[in-house]
Amino acid sequence: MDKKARVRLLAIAFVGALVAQAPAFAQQRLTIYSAYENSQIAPLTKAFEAKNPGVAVDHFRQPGEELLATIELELRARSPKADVVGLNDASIAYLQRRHDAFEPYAAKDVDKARVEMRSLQNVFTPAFVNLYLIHYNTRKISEADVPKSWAELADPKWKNQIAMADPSSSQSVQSFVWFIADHLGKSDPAKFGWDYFKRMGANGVHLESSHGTIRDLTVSGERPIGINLLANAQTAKNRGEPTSNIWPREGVPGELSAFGLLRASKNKELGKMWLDFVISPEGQGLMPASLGGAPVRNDVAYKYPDGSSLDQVKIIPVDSAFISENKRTQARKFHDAVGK
Amino acid sequence: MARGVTKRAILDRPAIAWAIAALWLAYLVAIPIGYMTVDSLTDDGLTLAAYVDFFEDPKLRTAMRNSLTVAAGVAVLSVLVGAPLAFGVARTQMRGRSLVSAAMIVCLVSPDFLLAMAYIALAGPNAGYFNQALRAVFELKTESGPLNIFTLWGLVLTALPHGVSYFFLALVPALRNVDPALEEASRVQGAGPIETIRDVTLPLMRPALLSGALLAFSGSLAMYGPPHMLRLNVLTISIRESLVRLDFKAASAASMVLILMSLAALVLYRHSTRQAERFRTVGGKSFSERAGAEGRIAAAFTVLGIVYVLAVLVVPYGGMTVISLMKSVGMGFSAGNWSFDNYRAVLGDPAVRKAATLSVSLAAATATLVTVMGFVVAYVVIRLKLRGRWLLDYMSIIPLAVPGTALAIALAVVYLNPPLNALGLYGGFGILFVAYLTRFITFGVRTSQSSLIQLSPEFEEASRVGGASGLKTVALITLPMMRQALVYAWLLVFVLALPELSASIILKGIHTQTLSTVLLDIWNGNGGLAQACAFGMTMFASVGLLLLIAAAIAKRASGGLRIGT
Amino acid sequence: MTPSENKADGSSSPGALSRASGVDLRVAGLRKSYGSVVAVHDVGFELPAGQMISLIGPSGCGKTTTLRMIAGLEQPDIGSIVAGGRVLVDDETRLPPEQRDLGMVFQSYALWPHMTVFDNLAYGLKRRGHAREAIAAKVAEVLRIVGMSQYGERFPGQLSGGQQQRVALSRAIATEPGILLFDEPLSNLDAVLREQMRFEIRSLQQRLGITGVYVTHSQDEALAMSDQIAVMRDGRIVQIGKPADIYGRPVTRFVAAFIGLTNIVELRAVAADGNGIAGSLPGGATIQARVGAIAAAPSGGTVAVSIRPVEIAIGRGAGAGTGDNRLAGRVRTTAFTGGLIDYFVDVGGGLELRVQTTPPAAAEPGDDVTLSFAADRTVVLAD
Repeated sequence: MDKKARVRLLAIAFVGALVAQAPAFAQQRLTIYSAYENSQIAPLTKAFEAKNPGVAVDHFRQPGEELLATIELELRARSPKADVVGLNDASIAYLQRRHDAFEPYAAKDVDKARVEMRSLQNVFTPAFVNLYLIHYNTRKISEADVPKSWAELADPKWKNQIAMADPSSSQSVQSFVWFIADHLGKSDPAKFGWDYFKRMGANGVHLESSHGTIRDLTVSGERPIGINLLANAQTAKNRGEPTSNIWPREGVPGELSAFGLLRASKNKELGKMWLDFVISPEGQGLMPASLGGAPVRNDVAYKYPDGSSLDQVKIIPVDSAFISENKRTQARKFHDAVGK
Repeated sequence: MARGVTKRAILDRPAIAWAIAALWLAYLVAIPIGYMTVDSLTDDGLTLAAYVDFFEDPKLRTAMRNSLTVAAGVAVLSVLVGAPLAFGVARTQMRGRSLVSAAMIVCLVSPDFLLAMAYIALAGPNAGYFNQALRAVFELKTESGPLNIFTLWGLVLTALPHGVSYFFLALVPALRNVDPALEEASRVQGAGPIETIRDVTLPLMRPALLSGALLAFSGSLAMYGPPHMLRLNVLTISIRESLVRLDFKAASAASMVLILMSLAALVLYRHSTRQAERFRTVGGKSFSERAGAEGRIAAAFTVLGIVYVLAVLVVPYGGMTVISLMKSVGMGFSAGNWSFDNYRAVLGDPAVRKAATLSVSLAAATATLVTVMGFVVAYVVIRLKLRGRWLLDYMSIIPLAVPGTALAIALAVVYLNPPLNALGLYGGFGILFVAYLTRFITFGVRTSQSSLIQLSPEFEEASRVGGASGLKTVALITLPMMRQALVYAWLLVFVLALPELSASIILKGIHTQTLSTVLLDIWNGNGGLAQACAFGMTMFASVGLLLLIAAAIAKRASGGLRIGT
Repeated sequence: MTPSENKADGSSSPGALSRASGVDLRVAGLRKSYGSVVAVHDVGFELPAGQMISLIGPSGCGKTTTLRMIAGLEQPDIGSIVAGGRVLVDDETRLPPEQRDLGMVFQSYALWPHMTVFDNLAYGLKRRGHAREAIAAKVAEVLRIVGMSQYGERFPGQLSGGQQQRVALSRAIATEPGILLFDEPLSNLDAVLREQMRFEIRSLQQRLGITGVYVTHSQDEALAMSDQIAVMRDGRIVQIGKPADIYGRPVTRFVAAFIGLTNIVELRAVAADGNGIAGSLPGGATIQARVGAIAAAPSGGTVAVSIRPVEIAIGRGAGAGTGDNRLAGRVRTTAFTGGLIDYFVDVGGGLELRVQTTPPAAAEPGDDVTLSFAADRTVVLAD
């Protein structure tokens, strides 16, 4: 390369670096932070963009706990960049309590959501119900053999076969931890409570930072059993992976996934349009194919990925208030029990 | 009559250069490290509370122990694996010497988390292909193992190729530069080849051995990607977790502990390289022409070299390529399970494209500024005999001892608090740019320094006497004569900055996702294993291509002009 | 005094190299210290235009530092340098190198490897703002002078050592500098080439009337090339003068031994008359000396004298030779070195003198001989 060409190359690289900072072409842009995968939220955002020409959605995804930290830091730096935040209701409550971060908004049709799904002050707009289940690789484990209850997972038979999420990174797993340690711990202390996680630790449970990675480990067979969320069982199904799921007989913790409008948003009108869309029949109808959860409206038909219907699954609503207030302590107790 | 320039005037320009270099280093190095040091020691007055908390937390203690274990393991194993390979390449007629050397460089610049991904696929205890093969071949009854990558030893294995590369690249030139007469004298005195290696060669190599091992040690301390993917509790991971909990004191204290550990390694390293320079003055020339051992010995080294290249490049990246082509990872090696869909999905993803643009811009801007300012600092340190240049020298080397994760915490602390939060850098391009500049400062300064040391000052003096001012001399003589080194520095920084992860993961913002943070996100479920492999292979291929370009430029430059006498 | 030629402002155009371009150089009271080490101590000399001075001395004597201070590459602590009436350095002024109107030939040649020979030569002319055609003409002329006309488009890396040396020299004279500085320019050449270049440089310097300062540690170069020699030691000039004077009348043991081969012997019981001194050797013989530091010789004390081996005649037997000083001795050994024969002669009292003659050999080992040498070639040393 001659001297001129090299100089030119450097110049181009440098100019490129500067240009990259220039804002993208003007358009109305809605910025959403959420814990949902790009590919999961894409059908929803695409439908929203189709419905509202001239609007583009920027989506930024992180595992829930990490996303909470990002939002809190942005609030601290006084430069919140999101308009709308998608998390579970416990995390939204947590942000609201600490930062008064959300602007209440009563979305159109929000009264069509089941009443237990609704936020009292309309701090959030409910989106879908996310349930815990046992996700398994059908090529590694036969349907007859697969554990049918949460309790069976602690059986040494499944040593080094199971993965679950780590509360240092994941927000949702707090629901599962509450369900096992506090909810079942009270009703069946012999099998559950914190000792359950001690046994899981001894059983070599693998902790991952996000439920998506757990799904991938189950799919590849590296961890043929995953304590996973409905949404991920649904995406695996959608991708044609050799997996299925079990609804354990003790029941399953159900957490509510929702969206909230940030007070600091400079795009509140667009944000409200998004919230309206999420709860609309069209948005709710897209939930299983997109975010993978169950709709919050009764007037939208739904079946679980294994074919069972809503009434066949025993859902235990989680105590979001308890979780949002105690999540640090819960995480520490969990780590102490698992021993990692 | 030409009025004479006064004393003051002639000193002005060097002083300006000094001031620019000092401000540059102060802004990028002294401020963040100093701020975090103070921050970790204060809380309404001076206190060691954050450190007490650190050492009282069993999880953090374990993390520290794990970090040290892994770093020490990598250092020791790097010596055991790297020394024979280096000896084979430098001293025997083994085949594939250039292949092994090239593999070392590829390993050094390709991002460590790619190898982690590949090894998880290969050596995952349940479904790892390598484990499945082992169980089939040896008819093992277990469903799991025998290898388990999700352990500290797994992490050591993952980090090993990087360490071996550091070690190898430090040792080969040292082995080549030993005056053969020293060994021949030992043989003439009656020592056998093994005794000669033990009593003459190895002691002469000690500084190079030590510096290579220390680089491997501190490199392993600083890793973020592999332990993140292997879910292991080491300090870099704890630091990030502290940040996720928004516990800045804990993150700062843990970062300081990590920095102090690698600083200790760095001090030892500096010491050993000084010694190496002292050893090298024997003749100061290269003896690469010597013929090495042939026959069976060479054949044994050939086998070793091939096994190594297979283990660190062919098998892992081959495995990743295979996975990246699967439609469904769960369906494995079955007919009809193959397509380029994952590549299409990844390369077509606007988020990936945006990240690629950002990473290329960041890397290019970083490489440019680091190279330019590296030259300025090196020029001030080497050429201008001004007071306080040792300070600049030290400041420019400190970033080598600051793991990216710790640096990111320091920058977060600085730019989230007054007064510098007023700059509004946090969460944007600016803070990543600052982090990258700091991380790679040393490469720019070092490359320019070693090139300037080799460049006789007489070339510049001839220009001054010939009628050119100091600045003009730099432009017309110094820079053109150093261009090879500068282009090399630019490419090196570009290649290293492109997949930067450990600082980016902490400092990225919504609009500033980099290639590696997106990859980690895809790995973390946002796309899945197969897409992550497709993305990883694309990155690997890009890095490989850049290396080829760099090698071509280096070859061309060295084949053209000879510099110095 | 030569009128000041202020070429540094770039106003003059390069003409033919026929006229004398050199200016006179006055160096006074230079001092340079590095920390507590004084590298140059009160160095001064005056050099008329068109003359060449050699600074010679062992390494670390301060000769290179002095040269670099003239070049402006080092700054003196105190002292002044004036060239052609223009102050280069004094208490008020410090001209940077580029404003001093100098040429310099470096030890390593310092030919810029990224430029062709032509570009190397044109560099200084460009800095002085000359027109392109004038530069081309000038470079061609200078290359012709050093016999390198056909090498203009080569790169330095493609030239031999001797050719590089010529290019370095031509680069230094291309700008017609008032002063030409040489920093051991021949030390990288082999012996034959060095000899040849020595005379080329000297004849060029004389032909072009260049004022030159030449740093070397080789006495042969210094003697062959200079109008003046300044012998330096420990940062000071210990003797300065014409080559013949330095060689013929060294003032100290150091100068005597450093410039040329010599025998230094101690004389005891010194007695002085108006013309010279006499003293006795350890063997008892009396030696007369009529040159050197006669006035300073202590009566009745000890003094050192220098006798060059080539000044001593040697003959077999007791009565051979003529001269003021005659010594009987026995040849211990001889050495044939081509042009000269060396004899090592034991003259009694533990003293051995070295003698050199042209062949054929005047004596064999074991022969009894008589050595004779003139009193006005026997130099009294000051220390």
